[in-house]
Amino acid sequence: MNEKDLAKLAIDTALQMGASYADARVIKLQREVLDIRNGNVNGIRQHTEMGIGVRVLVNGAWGFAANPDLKKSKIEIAVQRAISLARDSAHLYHQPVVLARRPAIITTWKSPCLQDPFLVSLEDKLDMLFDIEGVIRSTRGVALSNASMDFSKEWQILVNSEGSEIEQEIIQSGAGFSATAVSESDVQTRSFPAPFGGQFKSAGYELIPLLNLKESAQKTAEEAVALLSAPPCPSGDKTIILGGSQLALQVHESCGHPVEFDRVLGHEADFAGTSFLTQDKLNNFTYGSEIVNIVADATVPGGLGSFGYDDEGTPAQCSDLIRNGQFVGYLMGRETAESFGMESNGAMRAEGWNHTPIVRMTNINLLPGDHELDEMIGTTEDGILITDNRSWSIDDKRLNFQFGAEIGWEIKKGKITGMVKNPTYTGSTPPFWRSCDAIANENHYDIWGTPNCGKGQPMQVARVGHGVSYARFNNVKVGIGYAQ
Amino acid sequence: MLSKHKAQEILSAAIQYSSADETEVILNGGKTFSTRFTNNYISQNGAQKEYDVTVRVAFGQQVGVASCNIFDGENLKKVVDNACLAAKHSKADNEWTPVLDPIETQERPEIYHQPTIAYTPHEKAERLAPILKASMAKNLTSAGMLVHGDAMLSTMNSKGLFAYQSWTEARFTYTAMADQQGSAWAEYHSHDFSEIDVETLAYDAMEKAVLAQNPGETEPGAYTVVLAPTAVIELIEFLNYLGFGGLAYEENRTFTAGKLGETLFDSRITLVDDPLIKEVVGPAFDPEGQPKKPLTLIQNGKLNAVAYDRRTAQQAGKQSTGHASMPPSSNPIPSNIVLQAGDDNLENMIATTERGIYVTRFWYSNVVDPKQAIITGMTRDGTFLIENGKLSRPLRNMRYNQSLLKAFANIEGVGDKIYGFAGYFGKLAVPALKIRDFHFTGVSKEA
Repeated sequence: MNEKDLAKLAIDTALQMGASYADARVIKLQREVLDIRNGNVNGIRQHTEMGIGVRVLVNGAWGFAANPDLKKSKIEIAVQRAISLARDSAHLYHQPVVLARRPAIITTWKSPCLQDPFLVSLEDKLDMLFDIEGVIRSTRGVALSNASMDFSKEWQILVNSEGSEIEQEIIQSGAGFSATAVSESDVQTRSFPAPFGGQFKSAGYELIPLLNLKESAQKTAEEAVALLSAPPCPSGDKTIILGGSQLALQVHESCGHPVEFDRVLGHEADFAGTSFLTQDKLNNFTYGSEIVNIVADATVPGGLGSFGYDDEGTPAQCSDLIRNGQFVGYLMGRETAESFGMESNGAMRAEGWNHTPIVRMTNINLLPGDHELDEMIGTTEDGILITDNRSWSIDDKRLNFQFGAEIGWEIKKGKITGMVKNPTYTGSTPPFWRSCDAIANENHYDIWGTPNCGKGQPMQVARVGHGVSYARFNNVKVGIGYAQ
Repeated sequence: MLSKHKAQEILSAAIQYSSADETEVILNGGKTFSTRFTNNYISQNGAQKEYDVTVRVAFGQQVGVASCNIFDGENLKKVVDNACLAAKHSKADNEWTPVLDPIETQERPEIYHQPTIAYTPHEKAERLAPILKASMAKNLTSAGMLVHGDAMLSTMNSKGLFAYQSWTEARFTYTAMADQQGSAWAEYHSHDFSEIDVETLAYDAMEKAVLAQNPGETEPGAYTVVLAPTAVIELIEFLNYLGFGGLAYEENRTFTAGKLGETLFDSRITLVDDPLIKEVVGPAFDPEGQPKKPLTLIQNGKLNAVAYDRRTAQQAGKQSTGHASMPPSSNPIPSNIVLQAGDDNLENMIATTERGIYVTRFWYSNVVDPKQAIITGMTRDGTFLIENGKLSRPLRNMRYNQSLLKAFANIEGVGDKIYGFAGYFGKLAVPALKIRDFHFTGVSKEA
């Protein structure tokens, strides 16, 4: 039996055992991670895995079981277990789960990929990494140098009891480097193109040369060294301009998470938290200034949150979350949407085969405005430009946040006057976004990959994307992290 | 559970398949049964089974690692071949440490608690039912997770080393929410399900949730804090993550660097890493097969030791303490941490506080500065103002920015009982703490 037949077997077995609905996902994952550190191969890891996850509804309650063994007999055991778990859940249910309707789909989808990274030789990849890392290491004052690549290929067949059969293959690539300088009392790191492993996209190896890693290595390394003797970020209420991975993470934490409808319904109350964007605020709440437009877009090529269909078989789509500053939409799956009398907007995703799908971000994008970055800096009287994240923290309703970044650039009377170290800023989500008075145009726009978003119990790690350019915010409390 | 015999069979086969000069094979995984409840009903009920085999090979100093979750026959050979292929195409790793010579590790069958794994999801649902009904009756909303399962770690290398350990896990987390913004939290972790008093934890939290309703504000600033054990774990986790890894220590990236033997904290702070202690049990060896001995990290406030794997130890001219992580990562960190109990208790800590803040737990903490050990985060699920020795009123969640160096130097009291928890880097057991001059820098305001 092939994987599709095995998934169909799971569905048929579940229906025979009394499920009113069932879906099964068979997944094969291939991953390669290369890590160079201080002139040495720190790790070359090739990982492969496969398995099946079966989700069933019995008497209106969910059961889920996963097994790496794709033998027919083992799949039947997994289904039996899922059915039994659903029955255990059912007698404590108040209202049976109802799924928003979806027509059956039989299709295949592949993410765009010009060069399969798994067909590029290990030598070529290592040569490139050592080349980059060598530039960093030879920069005077650098104590630690690191360069890495990370590739994944996930093939999945989703079959459900409504007749859908959806086959998808998604290839993702990432690469980046970091330089660390150390003194007796300080440690400073600069990363490129982004911290925590670099830039990630749904793309093949063609992404890697486009990142200009080697060309940026020396300048970035020199910044790490210079930060040791840079003045600290000043404290006070200031204008800040955010860009790159820092603005991406700001969108992620203060918009992407609070619009997850399962949080609003309390499903994450024991772990990730709830949300200040309660149901009464939908179409009735000013989230940001009029220039703030944020969408959930799983259709955009290249995003880490791009796909053809979500893990319930809902087609990828682009939907408004914040329109002209007003809160207008949630991220939803079929169960959560139905509870609100709406349709799923395709946001159900699971980590691999051994987790059940939950509401997840796709690509949560802050749409570009009409400003040039130079103009935004030129019209800032007293501010800080912040681009690369170092630290993040936000409360369980997604209101009070604090971020720290690798580097800041002080702006005085429209000009950048120098670098500052250890920039931190804090705020509350709605006033912060309402203070946004300028967003850079599409010339500065890129989709940043966030490969490490944790949510759910047992915790699942999702790969999501954020399209951003630069955005300016006023009267932000800066320098709070060191105010002791 | 993969038995010792079966693990030995799989690992031996993998070693046989390898053509490398040196081979190390690690098998880990287990089963997890997770019953998740929300809004007073079971919202998710799952069973997962996963084992991974990780193969590290070396041809001279060329090293490769491959892993896979399927390891029958062909697939096992394939994962070994992948590791060999990676190694042959790699460059020399000048810091490669040859695999360990055979060394005896003691298996402890008693930490695989049979009644824990025999517990059924049905029994869990039956046990939760009265709690969820009581929650509804009190007009509260309950959410949480009751988990049980097992785990194993086994390692073998081409020099003949073999080690195996299996153990059970059980964990309860519980959030009780009142209508008017108040919430409370309870958590416990043990290898023995019977040690988790689910009912007491839940009903106590329900009472606290009622007290936490309609929270107000207090001005940010420096306060004496009384921290429940559920709050202490977050501080200890970051203290461990930042301060006790040998790699960060040797690279001078941490607040502990160069300070071995120095007094950093109050003399009531003694922190040990010991997988033999009941509340934090785990395998007494690491994935390299190196035995773990009790490691006293902080002795009466003095920095006594940090953790090493063999690679980091070799570079530093030290001995491994048995804290290797899974290959290919080399970032040794303690994972069975106990903050030793003192002679105080929560009730007395509150009663002896004229003005302060009681914290049930911290949330979403993160590092601001590793050299100054500054971290930030929020309070969550039950923050109270203490006035004249009593919890006077509930508070909205507050943001803190605090140096851990200062916090653990400013100890006012250490609780007389430790409680077990599961953390990001392993297991922890901690008592309650009272700390002076703890810095709150903000309040979570209504939207």
